[in-house]
Amino acid sequence: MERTAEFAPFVRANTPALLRTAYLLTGSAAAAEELVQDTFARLYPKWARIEAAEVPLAYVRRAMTNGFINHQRRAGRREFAVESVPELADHWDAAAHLADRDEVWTLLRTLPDRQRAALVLRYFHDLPDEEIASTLDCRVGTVRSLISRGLAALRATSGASPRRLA
Amino acid sequence: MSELERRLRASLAAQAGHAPSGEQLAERIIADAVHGSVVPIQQAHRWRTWTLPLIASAAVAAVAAALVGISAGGRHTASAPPATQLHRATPLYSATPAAPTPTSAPTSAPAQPVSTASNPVGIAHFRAVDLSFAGAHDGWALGSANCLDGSGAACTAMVYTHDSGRTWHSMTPPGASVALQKCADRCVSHVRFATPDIGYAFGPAALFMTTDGGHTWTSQAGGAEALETLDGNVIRVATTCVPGCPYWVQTAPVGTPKWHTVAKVDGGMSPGVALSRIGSDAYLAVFGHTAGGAGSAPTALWVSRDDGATWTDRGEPCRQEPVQGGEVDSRAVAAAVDGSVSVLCVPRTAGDHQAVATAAGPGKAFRQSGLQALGPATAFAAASEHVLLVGSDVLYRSADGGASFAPVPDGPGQVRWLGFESATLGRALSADGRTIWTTRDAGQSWAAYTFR
Repeated sequence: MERTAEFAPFVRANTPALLRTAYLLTGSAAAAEELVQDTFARLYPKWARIEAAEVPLAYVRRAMTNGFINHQRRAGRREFAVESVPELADHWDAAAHLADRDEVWTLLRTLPDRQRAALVLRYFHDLPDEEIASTLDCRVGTVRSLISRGLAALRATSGASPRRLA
Repeated sequence: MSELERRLRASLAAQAGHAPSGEQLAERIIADAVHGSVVPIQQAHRWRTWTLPLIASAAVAAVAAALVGISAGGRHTASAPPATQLHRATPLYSATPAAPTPTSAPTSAPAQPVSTASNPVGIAHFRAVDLSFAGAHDGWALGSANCLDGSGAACTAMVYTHDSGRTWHSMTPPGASVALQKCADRCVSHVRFATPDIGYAFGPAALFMTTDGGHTWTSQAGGAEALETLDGNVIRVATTCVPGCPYWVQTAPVGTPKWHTVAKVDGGMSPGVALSRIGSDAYLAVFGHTAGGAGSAPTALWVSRDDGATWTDRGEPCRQEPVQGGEVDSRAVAAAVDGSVSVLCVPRTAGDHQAVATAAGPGKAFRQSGLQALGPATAFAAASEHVLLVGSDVLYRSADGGASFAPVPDGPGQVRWLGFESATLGRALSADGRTIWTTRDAGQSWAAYTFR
């Protein structure tokens, strides 16, 4: 009963925020709800340990993000992160072609899952590299690589398909 | 920070505003976890992986009845129905194939054993009132389930399947009460989906449309006595009172609110209508008023061959062979994927007898079978010109166009709805709404999915 008493207020207080993150990860309201629900379902049996964590919300968010990525992996989608990727020095004015925010969103959803997750954690949650690395269970260098590659992909995609951004 | 990063940040902030609010989800999570109503989902659907530690078998109680998408107007009330509903007869449900062509028919499969299945996650005591399938795999059921507040009252609920009815999952229902025995306020009693994204839920004074697979529902003007989607458009039949007001036939491209009135049909004292479609053909039966000793109450069968754009009155399809001096009334109409249309004919003075009038197509003459004593009919469907189903105290099947019927062994029993999506794939909804039955051999054998 004690576990229950702690669990319910946490769920009520944090589900909206987790849903926002889940929505940005999955791109779908239904998938976001399933992701959040599944995350709590997996964590509930060990809720006492989560309550004892320094930042329980970060713990849950980490579990949710990994649940998202692992599911995609099980589904057969693969990506390969490297330590560093050279930033492409071009003169394409990506910002000018990304004036439409929905186009940014459209492009974001085409990125590999870990790149998208890294960008969401950085540019939506404003998390530092170290915390993103903890969430994604990888090294800080990998986080920088993921973010760099994600941004590069947005630029590259916008350059390759300027009509999409018109 | 570069301009690209700034725009990315702004985009994420804006898109996050489109996420669900989470209030209902939070209560569902709590109820499922604490009270253990969660059950594993057989079919992998996204991230749903609830595990056994959450299952407390003793707690599948009412409090655990978390319902997806309960809206403020979703409570079914016991208030009296509008006066216009008091005299509504109960025409049999039309059994309209939802698949546009027989090409979607799956190959025949061996009969499946009857199985007792689970509740969709977040749903307890789901009871369906209507079904709709768009193709062989995607289906939806409108019904009721226990309210989230644990009061034990019934709230509107919807479930869907993407595996031809083997598993069902909860989804957001429209914001209206569901018609159980009575229709309270703006109730919905039927559901139709044209595609996995575009669907309609409707009742006599309410019509809702979704274009995102049921995540959100928008209210449309008016209601619908009948509505069917096929061939890229939707036909609805609406009226402002029953009986005594005319019926308005309207069409719209699927997924749009652009309704266009194509016909106004004199309803007289008609107690209701039935609409059935196949290909570009549509059949609208405006039933005659058979209650209160009406002496002459022929049904008008209106036929359209152009997706509802134009209509022709074919008159009463049932041949009048009076039994004890009474008329023979049309009670249900069902179009089949072979282009035929069948009408269930019931003598007014012998309501437990039926005959079937069948025409090979919209321009063909009806030929009527002899009377059969099948008991009071509750549902009717046609897999083809020859294979017919009649629901009564048990399910009856005919393979000879209605000349003879035989009970279906180990079948659905008493049903409230029957329909075929192809010449072989059909569904039945049990009278209590608990079980959705599937046949893959034109009604010879059935597999059950029972909501706990």
